[in-house]
Amino acid sequence: MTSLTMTFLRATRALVVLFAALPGLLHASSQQGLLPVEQAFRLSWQAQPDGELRLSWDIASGYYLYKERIKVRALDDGVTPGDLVLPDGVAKHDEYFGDVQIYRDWVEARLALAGATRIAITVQGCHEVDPQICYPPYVTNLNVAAGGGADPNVSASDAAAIGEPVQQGLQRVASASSSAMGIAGVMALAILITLGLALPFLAIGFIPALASRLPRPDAWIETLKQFLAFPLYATAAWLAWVLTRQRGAAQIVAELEGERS
Amino acid sequence: MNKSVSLLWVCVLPLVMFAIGLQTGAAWSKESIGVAEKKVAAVAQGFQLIDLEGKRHALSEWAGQPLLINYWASWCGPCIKEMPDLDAFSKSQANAGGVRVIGIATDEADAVRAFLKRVPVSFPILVETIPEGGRGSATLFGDTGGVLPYSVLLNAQGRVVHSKLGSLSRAELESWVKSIHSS
Repeated sequence: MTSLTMTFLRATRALVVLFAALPGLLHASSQQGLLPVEQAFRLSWQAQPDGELRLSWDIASGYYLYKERIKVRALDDGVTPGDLVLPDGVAKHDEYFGDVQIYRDWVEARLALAGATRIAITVQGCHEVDPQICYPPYVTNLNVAAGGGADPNVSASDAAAIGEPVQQGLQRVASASSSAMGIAGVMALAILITLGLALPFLAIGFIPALASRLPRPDAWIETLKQFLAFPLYATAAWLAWVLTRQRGAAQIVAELEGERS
Repeated sequence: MNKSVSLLWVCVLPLVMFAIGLQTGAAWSKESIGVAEKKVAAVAQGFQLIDLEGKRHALSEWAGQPLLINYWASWCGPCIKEMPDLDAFSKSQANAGGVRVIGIATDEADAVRAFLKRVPVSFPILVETIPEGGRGSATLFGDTGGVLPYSVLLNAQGRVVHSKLGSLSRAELESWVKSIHSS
């Protein structure tokens, strides 16, 4: 066996281990299918040339933010930024709080920086469908000098990295054991995924004529296979990075050794 | 023959991987409960649990009897909705061997005081201050995100027998109590 083939096999093994761990990662980062707070209320911001800071929150469906509980303070000494300018929210009657204003979907705010370079923003929001819960106040520190960006706390498992539908699907699958989906639903979904993966092979099995349309295996296919080890390696490295971000370096060592820390 | 064997592999392998993944996920979530299964006395150390008079408390004070811990805050709508129910439950459990109820507010003491003036409850309320970016005692009972409300039922031996994210209904509380007496 060539060393490149060995490389390929090793990369594949690492990938299998990490792929198998992915539902676990998503499970660990969410409770009963709830999004982590930084993903439920996704912040992005942009410093304007005129010294104004534009902030916006992309609020996941089923979640809301309290208008009154969005707070801003400067982390620089002796600097007081202007008041946060927020649009009118949607009126909500709260059994205890009375009439409050909330935001769903999306909200943009403006802030006169008045020379502030570092800003701490606190938001507080809730999940309004079952399970009805509230997140603790969540603070994000922004370095305004950087110009603009998204919440630095959003980890690599962020929907933007994996693709929202994929992640939400996986999350739903991962938390299925505690949700209404049940084991039958999980198995049905697993079988569907499996069928999808197997479809090309099955198609050839049922329609053998298709096989003649396949490219002939030759030396080139070995080269291609070996080349493909590299993206596979990159994927494994990326997943390893996600794992260290979410579980710490100790966990990844334990995982690759197949042991539980 | 060979073809059907490899076909079988193609079908079976993803399923196996998927099952492994689910197992891993379940094991990880169990791991956090495993931590919570330590005795209450051990868990109590290192957390800033203060009553409204400013006196420090440890969870070990309630060891030896079934204990329902309710994490809440005055800014949490679903939490305060269940407070009257919890109060009624607490009163109904006043008999010997009944479930003790404590509320832990991850909130500011002043806000808690103001709330309790409006909606008094008979069970003890503690205030837990969680440092910014830090983790509170609820984490040990499986509430990794510090999300509220969160309730855990410990048996007299200090083990977690039930936990729930979100409001508890009376019916759920009743079934929790039943299970604690049958176990």
